[in-house]
Amino acid sequence: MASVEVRGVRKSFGAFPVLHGIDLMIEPGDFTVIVGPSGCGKSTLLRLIAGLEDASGGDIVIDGDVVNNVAPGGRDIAMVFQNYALYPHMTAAQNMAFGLENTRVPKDEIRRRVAAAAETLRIQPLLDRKPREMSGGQRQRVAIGRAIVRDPKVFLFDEPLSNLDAALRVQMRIELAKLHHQLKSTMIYVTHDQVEAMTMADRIVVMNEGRMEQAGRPLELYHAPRNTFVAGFIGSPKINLLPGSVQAIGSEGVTIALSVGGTLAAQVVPGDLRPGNEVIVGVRPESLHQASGSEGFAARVDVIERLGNETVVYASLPTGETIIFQDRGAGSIGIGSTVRLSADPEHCHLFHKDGTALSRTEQALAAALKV
Amino acid sequence: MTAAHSATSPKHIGISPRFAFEPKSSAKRRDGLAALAFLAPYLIFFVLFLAYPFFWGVWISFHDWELVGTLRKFIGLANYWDMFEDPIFRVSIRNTLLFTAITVPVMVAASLGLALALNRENRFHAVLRVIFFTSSVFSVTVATLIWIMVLSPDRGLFAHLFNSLGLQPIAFLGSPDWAMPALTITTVWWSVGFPMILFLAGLQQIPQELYDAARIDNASAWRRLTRITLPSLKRTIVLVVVLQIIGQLQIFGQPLIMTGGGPADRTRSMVQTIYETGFNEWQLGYASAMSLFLFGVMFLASMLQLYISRQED
Repeated sequence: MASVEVRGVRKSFGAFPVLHGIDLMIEPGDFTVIVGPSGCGKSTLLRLIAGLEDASGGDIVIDGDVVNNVAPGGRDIAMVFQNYALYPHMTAAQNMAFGLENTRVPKDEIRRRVAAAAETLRIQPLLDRKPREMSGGQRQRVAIGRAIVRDPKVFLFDEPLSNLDAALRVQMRIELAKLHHQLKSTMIYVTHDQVEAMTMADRIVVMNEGRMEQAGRPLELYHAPRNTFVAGFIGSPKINLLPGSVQAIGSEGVTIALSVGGTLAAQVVPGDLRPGNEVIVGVRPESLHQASGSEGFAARVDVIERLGNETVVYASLPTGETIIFQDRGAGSIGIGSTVRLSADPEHCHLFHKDGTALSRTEQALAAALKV
Repeated sequence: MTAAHSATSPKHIGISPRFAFEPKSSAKRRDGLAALAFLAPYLIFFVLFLAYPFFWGVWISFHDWELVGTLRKFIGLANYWDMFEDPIFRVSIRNTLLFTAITVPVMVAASLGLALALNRENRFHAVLRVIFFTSSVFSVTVATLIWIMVLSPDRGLFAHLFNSLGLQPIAFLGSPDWAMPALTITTVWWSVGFPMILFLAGLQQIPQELYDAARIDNASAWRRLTRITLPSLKRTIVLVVVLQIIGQLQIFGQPLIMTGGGPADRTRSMVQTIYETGFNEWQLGYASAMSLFLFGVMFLASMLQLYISRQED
C-alpha cells in the first residue's frame, strides 16, 4: 500500500501535447478511477505512472520516492491491460509466475503465491491452460492474478473490462471492488465508462483534452460538478443543460429565464452574478418533474424507454434540443404529447456561460445528498 | 399419389419448399463448376509444369535414357543402386548436406539478428532495411562476381586487410578448407534479405502490450527475447528454416561460378552433379534418379521440421 503523487506531469508525442500538467495525489489504499472520453490522455497518464512512457516534464512519486528514472519493473507496480496481455505460449500458472521468476523468488514461494492468487480468483482449474483455451472473462481473471501474485505497492488497471460483455462486466466490477476491499491496496483504474467510475471508485479523476477537470468523491462530482463537462460526463442519463439569462436574484436563489421559454430557479451562491447575465442551468433527469399551469417549460415527447424500475423520456424543446427526464407517473405520458417540466431550486445546477459552475448553497447540497 | 410417395413428400418431412424443389445435387454441381473455373488457371499450370514433369521424371529415372539419341531402356531401380555406389555423387551429397548444415543456422541467426536490430519505426532503420534487402534482388551471377572480387587473394578486400596486417592473403576459393565457408558467406550476404523480411513481419505481429507486461514483470532484455520474442516467432522460425533447407539443398550457382565445384570437389553440390550428369554426360535417366533423391531429402527435412514444430505446440 503506497501513495502515488503526480506533480505537474506533461507529456507530448512529438509536437503534439497530450498532457498539459497534471497534479494528482492518490492516498495509500485508495481506489482511484481516472475517467474521461477517448483521447483525453487518461491511459497515457497511467502508462507514465507505470513507467512505460517517459514524461516530458514533472515528477511521478510512488511511496515518497521520485521514480522518473526507475524502470517499470523497479517501481513495484502491477498492471492489468485492456487486452489482457497474457503471454500466449505460457499457461495461466506460468503467466502468473513469470514476474516472480524474473526477480528470482524461490520456486516454493512462487508455487504458494500462485496457488493463493488462484484460490482468491477461483481460477484453480485454469492454471494449466494457455490463454487461447480460455474465455475473455477467464483471461482477465488470470491477468488480475498475475498482478496479485507480485503483491505490488500499486495496482494499475487500463480499461480492463472494456472487452467483456455487459453481464460479465458487472460481475467483474463487483469482484474488483471486493478484491480492493480484501487487499486494501492502492489501485488506479482507467476507464471511459462513468458507471464503472461511480460504482467502484473511492475517488474519481475526470480528465478532458489532457487536463484534469475535477477530482473528488463520486457523489461530490455528481452533486457539485466544477463545470458543464464534469456535469455532463458524470451521471446516466446525462444531465440536461439549458441556456438562459438571469431574471432575478433573491434570498431563495437565482431565477433564470430559459431560452426555450419558461423559468427555473437554482439555489446557488450568486457571487457577482447580475440580472441579464447569460447562464446555463443544469438539471439531472431524475430532478425534473411534470409541472402544472405556467410553471417550468414545455416539451414534446419523442421516445419513452420503459426499463422496469424507471421510465426515461426523451422530449424535444421548441429550440430542437432534446431533454431527458424520468417519468414517475406510471406510464401516463404518450409519444407526441406535450408536457410541462420543472425542477425544484435545490436540485438545479447553475453554470456561467463559459461552463464553470456556481457553488450550490449548503441547503441545496444537503437536499441533493438526502435524495 | 401413392401412400408411400406422400409419406416422403417435402411437407411431410418438414423441409422448406425452396430446398424441396431445388435438387441439392444441381446446386452443388453449380458451385463445383464455379470453384473449378476459378481454380482452372492454376490447375492447368500445376498439371502442365509441375505434376506432369515430376511423374515424367519418375518414369525417366527407371530407364537408361539418353538426352540425345533413341536409347530408352527400362532398367528398374538400377539408377538408384548405382547412385549410392557413385563416389562423385556421394561427395556431392556430403558437400550439400555440409553446406546446408552450416548455412541454414547462420542464415537464420543473421536474418533474425538483423530483423531484431532493424525493427524500429524511423527513417534511418527503414533505409537500412532497404539496404539489407537490396542484395536479394541481385542475380546469382552478380552476387558471386562481387564476392569473387572481395575474396580475390590479389586485389580483394580481404587481401588488402591481410596485407595491411602484414599477413599472407588467403586464396579462399582455392583453399579446400576455406572454399565452403566462403560459399556460405556469399550465400548469406546474397539471400539474407528475404528471411529478414519474414522475421520483421513476424516481429510486427507481436503485440506491444506483451512487452509492456514483461517490462512491468521485471523481465530483462534477454528474458524478453527468449521468453516473449522467440516463442512468439516460433511459426516464422519454422517457416524460415524449412524454406532455407529447401533452398540451400539446391545450391548450384554459387559453386558453379565461384569454384566450379573445386578445389578437389570440395564444393561440388548435388545439383551441379545432376546438371553435369544430365546435360554434359547426357544420362538423363541417371540424373532423374539423383533429382528424385534430392527431392526426397528436401521433403523429409521439411516434414521433420513441421513435425517437430507441431510436437512442441
